[in-house]
Amino acid sequence: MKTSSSSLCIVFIFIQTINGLYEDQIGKFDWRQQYIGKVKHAIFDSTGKKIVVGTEENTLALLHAGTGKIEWRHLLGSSAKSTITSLFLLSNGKVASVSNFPTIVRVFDVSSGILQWETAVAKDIQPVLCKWSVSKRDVISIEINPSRSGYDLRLTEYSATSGTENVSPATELPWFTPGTNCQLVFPHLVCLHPQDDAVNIVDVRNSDTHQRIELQYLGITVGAGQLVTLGVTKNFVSLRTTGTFSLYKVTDEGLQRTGAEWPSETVLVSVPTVKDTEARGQYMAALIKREKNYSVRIYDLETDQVLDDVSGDMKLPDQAGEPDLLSTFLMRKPNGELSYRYAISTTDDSFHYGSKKEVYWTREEALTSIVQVEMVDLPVSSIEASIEEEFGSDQPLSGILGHTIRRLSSQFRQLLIVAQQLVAGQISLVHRDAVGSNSKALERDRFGLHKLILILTRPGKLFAMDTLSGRIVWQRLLKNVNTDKVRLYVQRTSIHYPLEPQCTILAKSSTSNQAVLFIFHPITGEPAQFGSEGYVNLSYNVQQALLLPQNEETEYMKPLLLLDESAAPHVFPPTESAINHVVKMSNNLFMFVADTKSCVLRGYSLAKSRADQLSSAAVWQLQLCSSSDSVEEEIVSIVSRHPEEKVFSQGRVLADRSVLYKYLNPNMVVVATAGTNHPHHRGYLNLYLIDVVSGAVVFSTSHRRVQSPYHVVYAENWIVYSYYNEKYRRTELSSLELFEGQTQSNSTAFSSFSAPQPLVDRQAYIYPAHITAMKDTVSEQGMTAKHILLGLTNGWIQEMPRAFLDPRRPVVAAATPEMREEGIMPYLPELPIPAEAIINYNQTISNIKSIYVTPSSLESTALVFVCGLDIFFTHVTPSRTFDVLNDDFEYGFIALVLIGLTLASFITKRLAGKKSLRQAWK
Amino acid sequence: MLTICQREPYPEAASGKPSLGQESGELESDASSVIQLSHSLGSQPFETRGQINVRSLKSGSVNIQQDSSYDWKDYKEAGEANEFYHLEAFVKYNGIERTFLTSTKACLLYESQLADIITIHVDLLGNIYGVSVATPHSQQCTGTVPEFEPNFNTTVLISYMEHGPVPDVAMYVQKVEQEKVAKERGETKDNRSFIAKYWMYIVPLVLVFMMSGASNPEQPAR
Repeated sequence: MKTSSSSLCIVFIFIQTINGLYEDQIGKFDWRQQYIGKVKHAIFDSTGKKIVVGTEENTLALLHAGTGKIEWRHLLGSSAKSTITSLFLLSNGKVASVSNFPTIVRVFDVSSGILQWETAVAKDIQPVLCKWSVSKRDVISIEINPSRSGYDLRLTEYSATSGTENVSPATELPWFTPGTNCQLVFPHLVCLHPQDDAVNIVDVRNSDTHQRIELQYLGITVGAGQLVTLGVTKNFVSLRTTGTFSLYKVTDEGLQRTGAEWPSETVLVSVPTVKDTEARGQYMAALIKREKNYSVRIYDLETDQVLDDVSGDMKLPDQAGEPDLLSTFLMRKPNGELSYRYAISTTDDSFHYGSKKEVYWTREEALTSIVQVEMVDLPVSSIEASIEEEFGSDQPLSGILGHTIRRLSSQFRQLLIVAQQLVAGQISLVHRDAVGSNSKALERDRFGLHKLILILTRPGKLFAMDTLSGRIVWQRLLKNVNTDKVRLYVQRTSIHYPLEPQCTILAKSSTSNQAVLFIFHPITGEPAQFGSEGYVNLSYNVQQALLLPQNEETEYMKPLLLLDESAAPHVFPPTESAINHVVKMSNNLFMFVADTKSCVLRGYSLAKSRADQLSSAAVWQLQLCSSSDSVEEEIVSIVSRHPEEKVFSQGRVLADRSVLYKYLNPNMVVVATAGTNHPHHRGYLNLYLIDVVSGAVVFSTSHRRVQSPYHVVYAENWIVYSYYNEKYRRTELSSLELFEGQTQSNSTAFSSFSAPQPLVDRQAYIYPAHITAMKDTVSEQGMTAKHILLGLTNGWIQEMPRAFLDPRRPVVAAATPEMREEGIMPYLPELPIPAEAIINYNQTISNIKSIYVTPSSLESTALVFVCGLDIFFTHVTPSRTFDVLNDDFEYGFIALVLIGLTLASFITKRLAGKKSLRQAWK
Repeated sequence: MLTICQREPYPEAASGKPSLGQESGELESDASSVIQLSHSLGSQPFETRGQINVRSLKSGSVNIQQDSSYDWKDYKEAGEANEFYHLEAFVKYNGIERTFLTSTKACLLYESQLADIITIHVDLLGNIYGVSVATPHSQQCTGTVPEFEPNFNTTVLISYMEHGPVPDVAMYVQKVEQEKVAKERGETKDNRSFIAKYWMYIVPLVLVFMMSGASNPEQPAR
C-alpha cells in the first residue's frame, strides 16, 4: 500500500509541473507591449500616413501616423553591435536599409514589409569611411580605403530592383586625411576636416572635379578653436559653428547658399516630404529653440521667405528631452493652405508625432533599454486608511467615551467614502472585479496583485506602470545624471501608513565625478523634500551601496549605507535615528566591493563605528582572475540571494526518514569569472561561492571550453547556471546544491566565522535552446515550489520546475521506491521544453534581456515582468493556485445547489411528517 | 615551529556519487611559492608572523615556519574586546606578486588556543587567488579558556578548484541499454508490490464478489 500511495504522490508532483494556461485566461492577467527602440531614422512616405523608422535596436518598422501603432516590424540581425546606419525611401514604394556589423543592404516593400532582396557586403578591412546614398535607380555606397599612395575611393551601385552589384574602379583622393567628416549628397561627396578652413567637394563618379572652397568664401568666419560641424539632409548640407547656422545646396558648381538668414538657435532642419511632386524640394523645415519651447518654421526656398502663417510653436510633453531627429511632412489642405506634420525623436528616447496644434502621440521607446525594475505596493484604499487612523497609536482621546466618539466618526467617514465612490461609479455592485480595467484607482487590492512597476531606463527616464493594464501612471526624466551606473532603492514601502513611501535613485553626476541621489515618492512620482527638487548632491563618489533593515526607530525607513572611494561609510538619510541604527548593528555589518576588471574583491567591517564617526576597516581581500599574459579573465556576474527571501524548510527529508540539512549561509554570494586562454582561444568559466563576511571561499568549480552567455541564479541553498559548451555546441545548465549534512551545526544563528564546510551536490543538464535571461520565482513565505524562468532567443519564456534541475537525480533507468518517497526523478541528460510551460504562449517577446519577479501577498502567486524589445507582464503560480478559487468557479451553481438542498430537506421533512401521520392513523 | 602539510579534499557529494576530478595533478602548471605572513590584532600595526614555503602546488608539499612566543594576554584582551585577528599574506609565484588579507574573530582564535587553519586557494590554471585563515568550526566564543602555551598550531591546506559537472549522457545511455538487454532476457526483477502487480485481476474479482454479495441478502427475504 505504501508504494501505491507514494506513486500517487509522484503523480501529484508531475501534475503540479503542468502549468499551462486555458484559452479563456489569455489576457486576463498578462499583457504585452511592443516597442521598436530609439528612433534614429524617420521618413514619411509620400502620402504622409505612414512613417518608416529605423532604430538603435536594429529594428525597421512602419508606424501608422494617425495612431502611432506598429504596422510591421523587422529585427534586422541579432548582433548586439549592429545598428541601422542609413535608411532611404526609394521611388518605387520600397525602402532600403543599411545595417553595419556586418554590413547588409536590405530592400523592403513599404506597404507589406516583405523583403525584396538583401546582400551582405563582405569587407576584409573596415574602411576609413563608408557612406550610403540613393539615386533614382540605385542604392549607392562609397568607401574610402587607404591605398599605396594615400587614400582611394570605391563606388558601388546596387540596382534597387534586383540588388545587382556594379563596382566602379577605385579613384584616388589625394586631399583626403583621416579624421575628415564626409557627407554623401549623391553624386557629390562633401568633406570637412575639423581643423581645416575649407570644404572639399568631389563628384564621386569623376575625381577630377575636386573643388576646394574656403569657409570664408561660404560666408563663415571661424574663430580660433571653434569647430565647424557638417550635417546633411537630402541634397543639402549644413555648416554649424557655435554662433551661426547656414545651409547650402550642393551643385556641380559647388555650394550654393540657401535661405539667407538662419537663426543660430536652429536645432534641426529637414526637407519635408511633400504630397504633390512639383513642389518637391521647394520647402525646408527647421526646428528652432525658443527659451523653453521649440518652434517649427517652414521656408519657401524659391522665394527665400519664412512662411509665417504655416510656421508655428511646438510644445513637447513635459518630461521629454532635447530633440535630436526631425522629419516633416507638408500637405496642402482642401482650402489651399499648407500645413505640416512632424516626427521628432528626443534624447530621452521618446518619439513624438504632431502638427502645429498639438502632439498627437508619443512612443516611449526608453522602455527598450531598461536598467532596473522594482515593483512597489500601492497605498491602502481610503476606507482602509480611515480604519488605520482609527486604530493608530497616537490618539489624543482615550477612555470609553473617546473610543466611542472615534469609532462613530470613523464609521461616518467610511460611509461618506462609500457614498462618494458609489456616486463616482467606482464600485460596481453587479460584477466581480474585472482584472485589466483601466479605470481602477491606484489602491492596494486584497491579494497584492495590483502593484506599481517602477522602471529605470538607460536614458535616465523613470516610469511607473500599473500592473493591471500596463498604463504609464507617471514618468520623469532625471536631470544632470550620468546613467552609466544607476541603481534604484525602495527605502520605505506604502505599507507603513501614514508614513509616505520613499524611493531613491543613486547615480553619478553628469558634471562631476561625484554621486547624486534623487529621492521621490513612488506612487505620485513627485520629488521628496530633500535637497533641491529631490536631488541631493553628495561630496563623494560611491563605490558600494547597501540597503539596511528597517525598524520603528528609523520610522520604517531602510537606511542606505554608502561606501565612498576611500571606503568611508555614509548613511542616507543622515538622520540621527538612522545613524544610531547603523552604529547599533555595526558589529555585524560587513560590506564588500568587487572590481570586475582586476577581479579584486575586498571586504570591510564597520565594527569600530561610532555615532559621530562611521568608519570601516578592511577584513579580507581576494584576487580571483589569472594575471598571466596569455589569459584574459574578468568577473561576469556576482549574484546574492534575494534579500527578502524566506526559506520554509531547513532540510530535505530522505527516504529513510532522516533529514539532510540545507547549508543556508545568508552571507554567501556567487561570483562567476570568465576568461579566454589565448594560445587556443578556449573559453572557461570559474564559479566561486564566497562568504562575503569572512572572505572564505566555500566552494569553487571550473568549466573548460565554454562561452558566454552566462547566467546565474542563486536561491536558498542551490545555484543554477547556464553557459554555452564550445565543444558540443550546446547550452548546458549546471546545478549545485549545498548541504550541511545529517546534523545541523547551529540551528539558531549562523556565524560565518565558525561555519561548517558544506557538502556540494552537482549535476549538469543539456538544454535544447539558447538562453538570454534566467530568474527564479519568489514567493512571500517560501512555501511554494521554486521554478526557474528562462528567456529564450526565440522569444519564449519557459517556466522550469527546480525539481528538474535537482542535482540529486540519480542515473537509473526507472524510479525506485526510495526516489518516489523523496520525490526525485531519475536523471535524464536533456531537459524538456513542453509547450504548456511557455508562460507567454503565442505572445513572442523579442530580444529578452531580463526577467524580474516579485512575490504577491498570495503565497501561490508571483508577478513576473519580462523586458527586452517588448515588455510582458504575467502571473505565475509554481505550485498552482492552491490558495484561491479558480477563475471558472461556479458561484451561481453552488448557490443553486445549496438552495435546492435546503428546499428539498424542508419538503422531505414535510412529506415524512405527513407519511408518519398517515401511518399513525392506520 | 610547527610543520603540517595536508591537502584538502572536498567532502564527497552526499548522494554517494564519486566527486568529479579532485586531483591536484590536473593543475595546468606547477609552481613553487613563498607566502610571507604578517598579522595584527584589532587596529594594531602588522607584524611579521612567518612564512609558508610551498615547494610544489601540484603535489601540495608545504611547510610553515613561524615565530613562537606571543603574549596570550594580548589575545585574551582582543577576544574580550571582540576585535578581529587580521592576517596578511604576500604571495610570490611565477613572477606574480599578490597580497591577500584574511581575518577571523580574535576570541575564536584565543579559544582554540591559537590552533588555526590557513587555506591556500588555487584555481585550475595554477593561480593562487586567495589565502584564508579560520579556526576549527566548533568554536563558540564563550570566553572560558585556561592559560596555554602561546604558540600557533597551524594546519596549512591547499584547496584546489574542481572541474564542473558535465551532462552524463554516456552513463545514461548505458543504463538504458542495460535495462533493455535485461528486459529482453527477462531478468528484470519485478519489485512492485503484490497489489500493484496484479490489480487488474484483483479489481474484477472484488467487483464480482461485491455484486454477488449485494444480490444475496435479498434471497432469504423472499
